[in-house]
Amino acid sequence: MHLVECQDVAHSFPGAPELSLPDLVIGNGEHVVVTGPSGTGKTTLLQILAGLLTPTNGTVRLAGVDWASLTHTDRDRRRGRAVGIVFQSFNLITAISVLDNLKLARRLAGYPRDDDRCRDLLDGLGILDLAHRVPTRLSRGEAQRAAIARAVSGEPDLLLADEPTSALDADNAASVIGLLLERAGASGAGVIVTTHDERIADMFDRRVRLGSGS
Amino acid sequence: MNPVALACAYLAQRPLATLLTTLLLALGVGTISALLSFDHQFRDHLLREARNVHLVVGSKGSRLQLVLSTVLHVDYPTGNIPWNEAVPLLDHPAVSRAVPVSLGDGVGAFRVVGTTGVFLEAHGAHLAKGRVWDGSFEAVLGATAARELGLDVGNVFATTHGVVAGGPEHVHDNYTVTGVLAPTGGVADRLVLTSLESIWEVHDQRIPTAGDRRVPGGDGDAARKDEGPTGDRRAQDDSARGRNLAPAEITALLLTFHSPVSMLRLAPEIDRNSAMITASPAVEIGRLFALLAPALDVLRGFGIVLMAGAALAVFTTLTGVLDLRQRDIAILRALGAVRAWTAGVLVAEALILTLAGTLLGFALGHGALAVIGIVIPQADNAGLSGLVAAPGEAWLLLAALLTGLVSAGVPLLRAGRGNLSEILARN
Repeated sequence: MHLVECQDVAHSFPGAPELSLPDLVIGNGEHVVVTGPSGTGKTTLLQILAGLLTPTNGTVRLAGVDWASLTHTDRDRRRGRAVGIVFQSFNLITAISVLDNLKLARRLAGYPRDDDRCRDLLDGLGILDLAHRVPTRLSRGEAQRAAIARAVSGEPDLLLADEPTSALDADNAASVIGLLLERAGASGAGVIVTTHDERIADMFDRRVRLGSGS
Repeated sequence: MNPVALACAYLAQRPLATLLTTLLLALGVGTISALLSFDHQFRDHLLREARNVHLVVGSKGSRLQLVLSTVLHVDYPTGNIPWNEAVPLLDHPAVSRAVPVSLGDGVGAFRVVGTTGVFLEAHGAHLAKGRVWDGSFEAVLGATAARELGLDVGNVFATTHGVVAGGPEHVHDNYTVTGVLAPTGGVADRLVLTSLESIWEVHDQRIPTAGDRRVPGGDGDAARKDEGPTGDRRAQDDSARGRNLAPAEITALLLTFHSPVSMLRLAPEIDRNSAMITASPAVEIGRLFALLAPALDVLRGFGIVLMAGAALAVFTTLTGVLDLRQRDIAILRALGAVRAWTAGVLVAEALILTLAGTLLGFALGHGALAVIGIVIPQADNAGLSGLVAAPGEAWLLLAALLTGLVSAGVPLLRAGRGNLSEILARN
């Protein structure tokens, strides 16, 4: 059974032309980069894969289960257990500390409280000293690491990252992707990263191009 | 991290808005809570004090004033009645207990009441120390009066003319404290009790008594007959001074009847055939509440308006931050939180806000009553305390929590309609 299967997926937003997405099969632990110019549907693809968006056409399966066959509640629960997401703007909860962001994600993934594991993750990403800081007091680079730590804290089967290097220089971009793949590799999670940054594409097992065929 | 902890974090993130909303709610709840408790305590106090007095006989004038001044000791006396007109009522077969009272003097903020030992029985008062007055110019102090005046058994004090503080002092007639009462929780705590003759003598209108001028219930009659709760009650008899005096007038006679029917027969008779009038404490207290009702209703309405304003503030607070919260709700959903979980955060936020406001309101309301009880002697006299909760306050708590839930309802509905991918894509 594949980790991700997309078949005949297309989505249309009101007032915009339909986006056709390529058929996609991703295996367990596979690391895939999705590239393409802006407007080709990279973010939409990630949202569909995460079950946040239901495509107007086609089927998306995660570990053999069709997202469309699940109720809203089951979809939310499944996403919490199986998918970790690094958003382009990080989307950390600003009312609570970095450590609490990790503990919250871990709890929503259905794991018991384990502060040590969350601290280990922060330590591994070099931001343990920021554990009790609220996200609004983090630099962009620190927030990015915190977002990666949160995404992997729930031990997901699939790690999705939307343009995680968009604001970074080449060295930092490679460093962040390295951390992401290392963390995902440690838990055996599959990874799908969207980017228009060609410099990091070589770090993945496979590349999928949008807007110009795969 | 659970919904309640996250809700607390959200409230802490906006300390000023949280504080102002809580204070606004607290003002509404505090006003209503204070009114409910005041109403409850006042009613309870009046009815308790009046419980054992079925009828007050006094001089013609306001019946309500007669009851307030002689039973509750909170108003000016209406005037005096001739002692010889009162005497037949003391031994009337329909009367089970008769307590004569003479008012007119004070000690500091405390009233001096000339009476007989039966007064103690009527108020369920017991001596904490010393003995009952045994002649003129001896006095027993209520617990609060003794404490606040700093007087103890054996001390001597002078009274002032008039029932309010500040009157001219009776410099030549000093009283000796012979006893102090244990706290009763009633008006007796704030009274200075002495014999009827003392009140009369202190105004220098002594009239030697013949056999018909004795003081029934004072001169060993009721007091000796019935040792009562004090156990050591002794007659007040001026024989110790070699004189046998009785007053020419008293302020009122407090009567308790064997049956209500006999009271209903006797009261009109007194009203018709004497210079005195009768007043039923139960009726007059009912009349007092009827008089106070509009004012209390206005205050209660004011409290409800305040509370409605507070509910709007809670609603506005929750709705106002919804845009921000919609983003967080979407993030939480993306992290795997089901709708019930995210709804729990909003509901917890509303309930914490309303619960904090309500509890603070109760504290403010009861704190205000406690301060009023300390600052205003009449309120203390009425037994007003900050520690007594009215049964209606439980409903107030429920109403406040319901307000919180309703306030969370609209943001909840709006949050539920949000499109996850759109909200997340906006950021």
